Amino acid sequence: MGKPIDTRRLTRLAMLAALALVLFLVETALPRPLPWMRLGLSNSAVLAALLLFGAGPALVVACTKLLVGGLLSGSLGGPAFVIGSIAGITSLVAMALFWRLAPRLFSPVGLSVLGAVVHQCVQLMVAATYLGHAGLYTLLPMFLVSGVLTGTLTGFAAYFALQRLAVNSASIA
Amino acid sequence: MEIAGSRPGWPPIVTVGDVILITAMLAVAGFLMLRDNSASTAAARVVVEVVGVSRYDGPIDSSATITVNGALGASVIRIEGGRARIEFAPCQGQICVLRGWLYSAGDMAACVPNHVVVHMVGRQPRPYDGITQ
Repeated sequence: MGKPIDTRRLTRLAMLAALALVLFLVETALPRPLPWMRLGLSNSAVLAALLLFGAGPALVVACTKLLVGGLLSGSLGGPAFVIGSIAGITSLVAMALFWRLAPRLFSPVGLSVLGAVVHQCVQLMVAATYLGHAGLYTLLPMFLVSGVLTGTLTGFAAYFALQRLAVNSASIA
Repeated sequence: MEIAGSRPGWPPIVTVGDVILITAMLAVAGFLMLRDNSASTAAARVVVEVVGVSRYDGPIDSSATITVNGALGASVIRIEGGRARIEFAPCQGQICVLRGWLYSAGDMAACVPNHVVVHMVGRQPRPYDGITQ
């Protein structure tokens, strides 16, 4: 604990975690074409945390969302929770890696698409392992397309949210 | 209020990398869909069921007109040239008739009021019942 805690930073992070949680819960209540297809709006908040504060704080936001979200929606410990958590954290790792290694390659929109596609693929892999049912892979094309669509939407949401947060451009460029 | 994109020093909203990523993912999805449709899902048989009981099970490359009696009356199913359709149904909605021709394994036309289901089966059973569209 070398540095004193920056209150402004702490507040923003807490707000992002709360935002991720609310988006996650609202989305849980919306009807979905398939049980594992969702817009993933809460990923906008995780992405914003990643670009504003870095990988560690983004992981805190993602874990808060998953744990408290699981607790409040009643899915904690169930298959949906396990699948969603593994996929969510893997997709965050992928976004963080690309953002760190090739910062100029993708805009927030591209990072979001990358995260969504990784999320979908990992989700399918875990679900297929869960069910011992390789037939799930026939759903992969649909999953990729929906990942690209939702990733683009949530990416735009994250981009505009970041601009509204009026951050120092140096921290994201 | 800031206007989107007006902030100096901000990264562009869409980069070349983004476009390449999106295009590549859609291309992979398209390729997988095409491969799926052409190879593994060719239909071999037509199965007609009434309330889950099989009333007809025949090869798709035959020509036949089948009449089955459901809850409301007779439904007519036409099989020809590797495809099948419900030609007539005694129901209000006619959704099953409008469903048109079925080609691939897993394709399905269902007349819920008359309890008649027509579905296409591949050479190997599919691991799942079907996908709604």
